[in-house]
Amino acid sequence: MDPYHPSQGRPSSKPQYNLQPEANPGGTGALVRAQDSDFREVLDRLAIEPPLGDAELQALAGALFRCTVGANKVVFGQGEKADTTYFLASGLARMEFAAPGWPVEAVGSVKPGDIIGECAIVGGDSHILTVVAGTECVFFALGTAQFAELTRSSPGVAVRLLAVTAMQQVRRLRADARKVGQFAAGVLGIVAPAAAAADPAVAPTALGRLFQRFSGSGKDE
Amino acid sequence: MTPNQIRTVPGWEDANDGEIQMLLNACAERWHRGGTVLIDGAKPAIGAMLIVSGELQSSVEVGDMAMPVEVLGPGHWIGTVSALDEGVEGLTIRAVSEARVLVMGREGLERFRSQPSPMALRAYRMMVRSMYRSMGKLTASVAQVQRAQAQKKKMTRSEMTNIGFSRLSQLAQQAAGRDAVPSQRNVEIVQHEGAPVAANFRAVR
Repeated sequence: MDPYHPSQGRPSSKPQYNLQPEANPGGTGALVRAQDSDFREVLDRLAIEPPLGDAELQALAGALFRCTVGANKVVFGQGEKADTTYFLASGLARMEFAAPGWPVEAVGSVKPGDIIGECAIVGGDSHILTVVAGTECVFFALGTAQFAELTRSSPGVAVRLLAVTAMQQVRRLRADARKVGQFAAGVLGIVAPAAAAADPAVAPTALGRLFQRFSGSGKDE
Repeated sequence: MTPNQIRTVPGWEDANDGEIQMLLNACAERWHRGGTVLIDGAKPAIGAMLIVSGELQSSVEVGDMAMPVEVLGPGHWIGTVSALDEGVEGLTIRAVSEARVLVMGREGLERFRSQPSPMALRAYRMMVRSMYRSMGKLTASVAQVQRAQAQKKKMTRSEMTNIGFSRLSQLAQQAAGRDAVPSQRNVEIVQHEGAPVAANFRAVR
């Protein structure tokens, strides 16, 4: 029995219909090794702090399996049971959302280093979005059971993985809130607070201060 | 706040005394009256907050309009966006009823990340779960906004309510310090126990 097979540790018996484990012996296979270059690249993009030691790298690599999704194939669907989290190693994917009675809307993109399906490792029930591969994508998949084992054997790795996941969520949340805020500001004719405060570390210029003085005078309908 | 009170919070039912004590040591307890603003989305929050009791509402607020995102209750973490990454929070959080929260500053979060413990794992898991839920709700709002933007016709203020926006009452605007008459209060604290989590907040008694 292959402990790294996609079906292991997942309560759902439904096959991962679009995820194909890499099966190229001698090359990049389904098993992930700490020294694999794509694994190291993903780690660089994740920027885990403090950096993982050798034993921790082995533990993390051992919990992952590598799989591919062909272009325009679904990685997971909105509402499906969440039992695997994915780290995008290469390729590009898009996030889609379907509200009841409305057509599917593209709401974001996934690039190498991004983590998707994170609810699988924090006890969530189902995916909130559909993710579709835009190009052929290679993912590192982490099942719920594998993360539970990682938590037991290497809690330091688990905490740091959760921390980088949280940071990515922070950026998405802030970007989404900014989208809604800027739309509202556009309709109301005022400067969106999120846009004005986008870079708090940068002191406003004289022109910026002048602009801010005149902003805030909304146009009434 | 006692350990048994913490064990009534969803996600902390099976926490042992050590974990709960670690949480209490890292946090300050705050009470907020219903109607007050705990976090202004246009400003950084003072820290990540665990809702212990009460009901809160998150929304994206601009001027006198708000897009409601989610109703929040015990076990949910708020303020995590600016606690984990400096900058504005994005979502405004208001107390619907009287609310009690535990506030953890950035230093506390940093300590947990570098010194893993069962409590740190639990806290981070719950923060990620809370943010995931919020993202799901906010994504629905983003989709509505994108559909509105795709229309050729420029939307009016009154039409904003058709896509989920609601108008804030003057009282609500005052609570956020956003009304025409500047409010003297940024945050109304009913009670605060524990070390100060920010040197620059003002308590109004």
